[in-house]
Amino acid sequence: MSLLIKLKSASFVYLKEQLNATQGNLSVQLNKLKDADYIRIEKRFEGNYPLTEVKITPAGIQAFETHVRNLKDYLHL
Amino acid sequence: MKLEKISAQEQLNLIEQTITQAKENLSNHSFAFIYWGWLVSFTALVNYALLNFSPLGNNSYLIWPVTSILGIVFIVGYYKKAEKTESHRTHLEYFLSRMWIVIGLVLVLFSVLSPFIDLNPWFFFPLVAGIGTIVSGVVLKFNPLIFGGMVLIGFPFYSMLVNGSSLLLLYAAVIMVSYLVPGYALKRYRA
Repeated sequence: MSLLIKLKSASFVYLKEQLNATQGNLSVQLNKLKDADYIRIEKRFEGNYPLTEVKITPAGIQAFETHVRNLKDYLHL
Repeated sequence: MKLEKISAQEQLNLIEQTITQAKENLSNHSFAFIYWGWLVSFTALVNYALLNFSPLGNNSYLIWPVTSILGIVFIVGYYKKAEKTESHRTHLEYFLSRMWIVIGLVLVLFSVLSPFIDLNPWFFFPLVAGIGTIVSGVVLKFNPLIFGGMVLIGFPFYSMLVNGSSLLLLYAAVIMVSYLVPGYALKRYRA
C-alpha cells in the first residue's frame, strides 16, 4: 500500500521486484487487498504476454491514511 | 507493550522507506524536451534559410504546420509504445502527460490555423509552451525548466529588439536555452 499510494498504477512484476516478495506471497496479499476494495487489479495482454496492473482505490487511500494517522497517534507523533 | 510500540515505529519507518522507494525518475521526463527542442529549433533555422535563400518567400512559414504534425505523430507513437512496456506510472507522470497532450493539441491546432487567422505566432506559441514548461519545472522541482519557461514567456517582449527574419534565429536560440539545455540537464539528473 505504501508503494501504491505514490503510484497511479504498477505492474505485478514491478511490485514483486520492489517488495522482494515471492509470486505466491504477493498474489495472496494483493487478493486480500482486492477483496477489501483497497486496490483494483486489471489483467490484459500486451502482445503475447499477460500483464497484471494494480491500482489503489479511493477506499484504499482513505484506509491507508487512517492507518498512518492511527500509528502516529499511538506513538504520540 | 514496548514490543507493540517498536512494531508501530517500525511500521512507520517501513511506510516512509517504501514511499521514498517509489520516487520520481526525473530523467524519464527529458525525452520530450530534447525531442521538441531539436525539432523546433531545427524548423526555425530551416525556415530562416528558406525565407532568405529560396524563392518560397512567405510560403516557407508552412514548414511549421508540417513539422508540428509530423512531430506529434512520431511522439504519440513513441509514447504509445513506451506505455506498453512501462512497469509503473506515478501521479506526476500522469498529470504531466495529460497537460502536455492538451498543450500540444492547442499548439498544433493553432499552428495549422495560423496562416488563416489573425494570430501573432511569436506571442501565442512561446507563451503557451512557456506556461507548460514552468509548470513542469515547478512540479518536478527542477529550476532549469522554470528558467527555460520564463525565457520562453519573455520572448514576445525582448524579440521586439530584433527585426525581420532574424526573429527566427533568435527563436531557435531561445528554444535551445529553454528546452535543450534543461532537457539534457534533466537526462543527466540523479536524485
